[in-house]
Amino acid sequence: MEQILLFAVLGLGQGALIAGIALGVVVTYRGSGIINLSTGAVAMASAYAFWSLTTGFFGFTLPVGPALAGALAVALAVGVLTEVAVFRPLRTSSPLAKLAGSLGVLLTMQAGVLLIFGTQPQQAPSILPTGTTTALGLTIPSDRFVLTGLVVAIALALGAVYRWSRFGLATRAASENEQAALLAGLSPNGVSLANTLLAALVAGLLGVLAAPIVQVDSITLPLQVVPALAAALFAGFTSLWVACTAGVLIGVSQSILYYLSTQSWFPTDNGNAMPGLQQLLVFALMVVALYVRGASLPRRGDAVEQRLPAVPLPDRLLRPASVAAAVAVVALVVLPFDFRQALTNSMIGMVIVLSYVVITGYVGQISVMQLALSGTAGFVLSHLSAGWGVPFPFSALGAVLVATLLGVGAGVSALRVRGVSLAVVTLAAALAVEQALFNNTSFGGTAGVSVPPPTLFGVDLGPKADFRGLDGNEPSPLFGFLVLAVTVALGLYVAHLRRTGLGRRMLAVRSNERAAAAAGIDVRAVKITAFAISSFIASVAGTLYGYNFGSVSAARFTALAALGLIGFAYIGGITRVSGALAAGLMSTGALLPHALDKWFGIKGTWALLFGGVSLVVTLVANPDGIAGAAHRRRTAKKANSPEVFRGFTPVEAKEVVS
Amino acid sequence: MPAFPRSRTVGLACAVMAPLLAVTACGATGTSATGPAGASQTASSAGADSRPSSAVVTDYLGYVGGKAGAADAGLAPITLGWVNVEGGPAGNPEATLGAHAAVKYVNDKLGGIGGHPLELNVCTVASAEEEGQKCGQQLLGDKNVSAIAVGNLFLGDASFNSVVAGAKPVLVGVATGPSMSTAKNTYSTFGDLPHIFGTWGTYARDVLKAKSAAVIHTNTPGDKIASGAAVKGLEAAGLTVKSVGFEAQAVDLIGPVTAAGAMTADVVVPISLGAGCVGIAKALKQLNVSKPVVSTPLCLSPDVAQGLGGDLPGWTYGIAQTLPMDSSAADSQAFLTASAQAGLDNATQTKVFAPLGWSTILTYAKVLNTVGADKINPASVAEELKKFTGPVIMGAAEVQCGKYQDAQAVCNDQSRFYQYGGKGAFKPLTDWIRPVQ
Repeated sequence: MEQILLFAVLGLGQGALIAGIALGVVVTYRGSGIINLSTGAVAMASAYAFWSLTTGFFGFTLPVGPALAGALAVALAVGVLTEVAVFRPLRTSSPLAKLAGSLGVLLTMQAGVLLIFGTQPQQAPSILPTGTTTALGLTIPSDRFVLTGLVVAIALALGAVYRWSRFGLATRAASENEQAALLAGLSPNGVSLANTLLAALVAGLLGVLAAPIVQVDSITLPLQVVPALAAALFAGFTSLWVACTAGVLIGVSQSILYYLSTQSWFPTDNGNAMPGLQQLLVFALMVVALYVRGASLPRRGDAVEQRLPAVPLPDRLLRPASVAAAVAVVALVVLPFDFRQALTNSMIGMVIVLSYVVITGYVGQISVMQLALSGTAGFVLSHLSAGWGVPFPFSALGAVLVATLLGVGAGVSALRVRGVSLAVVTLAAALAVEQALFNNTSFGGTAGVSVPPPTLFGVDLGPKADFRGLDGNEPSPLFGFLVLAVTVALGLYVAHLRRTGLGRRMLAVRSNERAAAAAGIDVRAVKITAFAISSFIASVAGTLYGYNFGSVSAARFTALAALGLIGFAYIGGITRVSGALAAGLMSTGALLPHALDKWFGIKGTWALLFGGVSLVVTLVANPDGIAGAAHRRRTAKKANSPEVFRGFTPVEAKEVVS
Repeated sequence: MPAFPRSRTVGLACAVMAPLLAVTACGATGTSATGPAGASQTASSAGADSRPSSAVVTDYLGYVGGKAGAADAGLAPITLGWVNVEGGPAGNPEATLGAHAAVKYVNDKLGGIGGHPLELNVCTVASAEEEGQKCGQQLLGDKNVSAIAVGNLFLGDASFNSVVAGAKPVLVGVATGPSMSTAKNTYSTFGDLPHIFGTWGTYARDVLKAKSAAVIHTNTPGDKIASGAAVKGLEAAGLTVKSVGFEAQAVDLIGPVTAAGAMTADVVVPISLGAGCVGIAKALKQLNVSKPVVSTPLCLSPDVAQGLGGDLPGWTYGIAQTLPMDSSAADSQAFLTASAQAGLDNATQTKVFAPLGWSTILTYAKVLNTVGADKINPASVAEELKKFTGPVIMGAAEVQCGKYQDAQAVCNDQSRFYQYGGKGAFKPLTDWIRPVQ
């Protein structure tokens, strides 16, 4: 019992950090209606700033006071930049676009700190007392109590500001009905800016104070947003004290769970503590929060109607598909081995992005789990083929079936959850799958598992097949042909889906679930079908990954990689198959990054920065993505042709073009 | 999709090589060393290096069997493949620098390979599994490459090995990537974790006379493998062991240290790096634990010294390499002198993988000279590597490749233990010792 008490107290530090970031999330949501995934990244930026100012990173050293002020100034500067460059331009965008915008900020900030401070994790100096207190025979660091007291005080102060100040009244007015607030003379932009700065200040302060408990790097503090989102879900993204309490309790629960997992009676993973328990706890808490609080977030009376990216009806399918396939076939034979491999990687990337086209582009649901489903399929493929000797294609089909069922199961359980709530829950689920399933040696394991090549009637279809390209090197174009066939088939299917009744029902559900239900559409059936289709596609991509590498490892299917993939899907154009094609060309190991690396030596962190900035720019300036812009240009060109304007007056023609 | 930087990846890389190699900042000039727990239990005479002088490689010309002088630039070059993780969020470019320095030394001073200049076909992995695959394809496709050398391939190793698949021999100093130890036609002259950590048991039982151990490790993939190996080695020596992991980002480690039973164990074994080492050292101090601490050399890094106020923890360190900072070691002196002649600067010399790259290339030079320049092909090089029994430059006097059925690539399972006395001073505590049989 004493030990449990000790670990409960030790968990207060982590809990205070989670609570602080949760407060930042809630404050931002109240001010602007944005679920800010980059709140933890603000804490990271502030912690890095404090560390660099106190350790002489920039060639000079400041005392603690000025360094703290400098770190908070950095947090505020990040807040201003985020508000002006991202949140304000996206104020009239859909909640999903806003969420993706904050994801772009997160990616950009991660890349920024890596480029400035390097990859080495740093140890931040402590401002709080570092001594210990002895109570009940237990030695406890005293900073835990100070940190918890501080975050509670911040929550109380914020509560008082919102309750009794004019600013708080304005924020509450804007959060409940933006149109009415506008009519009352309040500036939604001003309210949003003030709240974003307040959130940045809280997150920045907690980042500095709690950094000595966790190391300062580009991942740890940013990912604290996930448990913080669980706390914010309990608070309905509204209640500050609930967010604070839930955050602290999550930290305490994680600490106690950790202690229990070290006991001899607790199940282990091959002698080590079961991986991913804390992430599983957060995911479970999110599910509970959604059950307790209801599935949806509080709606805001937005001032402007939100527009979703267009999903144009594809007019021709077979001709462009045939041309693209023919070009790819020739390229697979003619290209040197490295570009041949990059082309194969591109096509696999396209396949997984196609799953986002269905679930996000057509149905409007962001599921961060898609890459986790790919990983599941890959690991199951290894078990079936290498472990049990199931031959191709049955092993691949079995793997796809298992992962698809998992995806459908997740979809069914998340039927009441939609939009940004689904994104938040699936992010936690992806983290839990990554940590608890993929890192568990019984299923996945960190060392990776092997996947034998696909062989049909004695013919090796894998990358080591005897038929080689013109240069005679691996990978075999034969495997590229296999991937190409799958990519073209799935691309045609997804494009054709848009034309079908099911596709139209998906779009109706995306636009307005209630209206769709009123029109006689079975919303549940449509969503489950969409989950099944997208899970199937993601699973197919997972098996292709496995065959491509001859192995599957957990590092390929992380939640952070999934977020990056969503970013590229948006940049390419998440509502179109051509967008998936563009995104695939940008994915890891694909043609674009390979060419940049080979010809210009650009790789690694710069690609991350490119992804983050491009995502923000795309969302702000071109929500339809690269493919959407190309489609608009084609449409405009077509509209400008003389045939179209025959019989039109010049004014009418101009109206058509515009 | 961008490949994300992962501190865990760094952890994997470093943790896997930790017990095998000495780390850079051992020469930290701090002022306050933590108390050298456990030092008193060690016999001062036990630290002597019992390797015969012929096994301590200082004469590189004699070792590789070359001819003094420069290679003949007019002859066709002999090409080795070289793969390393660098250029991304994590990596060890110093390994490639060490390899290049070795190539230059061979060409300038050791007469090349039978007079032919030696050159490298370099392929690097920055951040993605795909790049390991690309490297495999690049080196497999290059007909001039008969053999491949590896620096620190902790990322992309699975796809690299899947492509190469034993078609060309691979020589690697430390088998860091999880799949390297079991890869076909692969030879690791410094070994891998599961076999090196067996010596922790020998040391704890025979030198410390310990009955129980507390293992505290980071929950990174590499550290989990390492801790499993440490537990196995300690239990094989008859110790009762409790092993507890902690998340990589945690630095306040009173909880894990308490849960591992460090207060009552006879010996504490930390398996972590950077902030984790600092956290363990601070927690042990806060809990007044004064038992011997036997660590991997991964805790010998500048950030650890910085986190502890200027100097490294005064622990015992087990290392599968002659410590480059051991001024009494003739082979370390030889490396520092020769690599400096080949242009390797002092800062790079003291980094983890530079001497490893150096050692790997010179081992290849020995093997290729034995084969003969006109008979070099994948099969002949592999055959000679199978026969290689050492000595290893800055490594064990004797190695035996293929000794372990479950890890065919592992050639070494020996290591030495050093005591850090503060202010950059190390004292060898043991000779090269082997795991408990």
